[in-house]
Amino acid sequence: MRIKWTFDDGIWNLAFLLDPEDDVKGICSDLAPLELRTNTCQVRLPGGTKSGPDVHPDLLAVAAWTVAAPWTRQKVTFDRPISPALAEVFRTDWGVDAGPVGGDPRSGTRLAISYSGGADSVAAADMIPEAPFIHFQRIRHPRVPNRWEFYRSDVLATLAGETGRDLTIVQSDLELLLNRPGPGYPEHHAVLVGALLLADDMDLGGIATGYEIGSRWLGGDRYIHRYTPDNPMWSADGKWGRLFQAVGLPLVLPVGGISEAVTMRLALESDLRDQVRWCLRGPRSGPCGVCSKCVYKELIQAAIERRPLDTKATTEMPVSRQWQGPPPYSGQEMIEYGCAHVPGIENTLFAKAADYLQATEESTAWVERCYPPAIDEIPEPWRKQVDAYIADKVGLMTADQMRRVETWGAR
Amino acid sequence: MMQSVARILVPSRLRRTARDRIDARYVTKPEHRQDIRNAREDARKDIRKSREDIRKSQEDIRNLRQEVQALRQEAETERRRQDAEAQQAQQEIQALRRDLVALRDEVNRLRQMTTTVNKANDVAVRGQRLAEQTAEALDHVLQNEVRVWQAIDGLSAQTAVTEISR
Repeated sequence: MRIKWTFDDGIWNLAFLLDPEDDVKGICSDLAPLELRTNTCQVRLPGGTKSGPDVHPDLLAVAAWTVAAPWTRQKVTFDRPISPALAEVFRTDWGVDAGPVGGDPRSGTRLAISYSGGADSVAAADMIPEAPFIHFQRIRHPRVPNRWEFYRSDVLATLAGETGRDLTIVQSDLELLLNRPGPGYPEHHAVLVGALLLADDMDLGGIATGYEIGSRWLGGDRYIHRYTPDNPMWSADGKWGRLFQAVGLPLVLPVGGISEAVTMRLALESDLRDQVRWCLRGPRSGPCGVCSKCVYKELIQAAIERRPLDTKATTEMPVSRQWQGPPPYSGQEMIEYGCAHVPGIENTLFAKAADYLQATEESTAWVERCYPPAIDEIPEPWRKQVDAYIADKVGLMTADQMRRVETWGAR
Repeated sequence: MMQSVARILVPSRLRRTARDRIDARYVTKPEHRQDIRNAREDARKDIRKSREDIRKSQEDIRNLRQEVQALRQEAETERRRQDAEAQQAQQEIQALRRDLVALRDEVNRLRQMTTTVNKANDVAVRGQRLAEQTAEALDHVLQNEVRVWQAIDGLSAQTAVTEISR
């Protein structure tokens, strides 16, 4: 893989060229099969960005790697030398020969939050109120007709702007590089491309994200759905964790030890509750209410509010199909929690799932507490703050509850 | 004839007696006169009665004539009324006929419009399908472009190696 970055008037253009052994078919770090559509993309930084072409080459290298990694087989050649430490991570953690090598490693001090506007990143924002936000906004790709106009990245950017926090919006079409399974981040870390390219400008020494216990410890999303202390995407010592560490931007998961039920409670209790939006489709006035994410999050919200489910979605709708068969389900710990806590669940589209799972308030109590190793994993400069917040507003799991986490998915 | 017979054959007294007997069988002169007077009186009465009858009949005729006139007038009024009604009905029928024609036109217009809308819809659906297919085809073109450059770069690297080794 050969990487080429060009900078023009606040816009970083990336092109990557495949070596003979590379392929347009690839595997994401979460093991999902991917297919490349095209090999160019852009990242638009806001006006007034100072660093521009002088940004540290290691940052450019990792930023490029978040979109080029799935297609690279053996070797990556960057257009400017990377520090030996970074090259070493590529070699040992990725089995990839990266170069050319030269120069010093970078470092910084401040923490920024990669802010999507969903409940998880709002909870992270509430924990670290002084951290600036960096928001990734999808824009259309000049070479790809936009068949996904229902995706309202403009609404999410507007809501982020209404938080009143220090906000930098970074626009990019990199999601359109992905042909299969559809538009999205080639690697989950591509959402951090703006933080990487702005790290020198903002003197960043860490990036906080909203990945919660499901993503970090339970093999959630489209990963393996079992306990993953060595999660390759989000553990500090995983191959991505070490890569970000090498460019002076350790990944910080303030909500890595708590569930989506807790992040939602914290988000809805926070100052940013009016800007929380997990739906990617609804207009400024409100979420669509019938997409998969709306239905899933409504189950969680109904559970934390101990009230019946309030949704227009019915069992017959395609959105409900995923919960009509047996487990595993995506975000299963939340489905269990919802089925155990929502009154009248047997009369909803989750009736079948509830029947399969047989979850009880007692069996899901662990979901309301924080998994302590997640706090230990937070880099030292921010650990104390998160620890204090958790102690104040959440509380830690007991040994028995921790065992629930550590035996998750073992059957 | 009897007189002449009596004068010839019978003395006067006998004749008188006989005559008296015969005369008794006939009306007397005054009686006759009375009869005539009575008859005349009766005739006069009859005439008066007839005249009265005629007068009454004439009155009846006049009455009947008036009645007939009234009936004729009534019939005429009725005829006019019916004529007016018929005319109005005729006008209504004509108005309905015009409405019907207008409606028929409207239906035809709508039918045409539906056809136009359906055609436009078909065009839109075909356009949408074409756009999606074009976009998908473009995906392959873009992907092939990546592969072509990969092959070209591979070939030029090989050529460079060959030239150096010469």
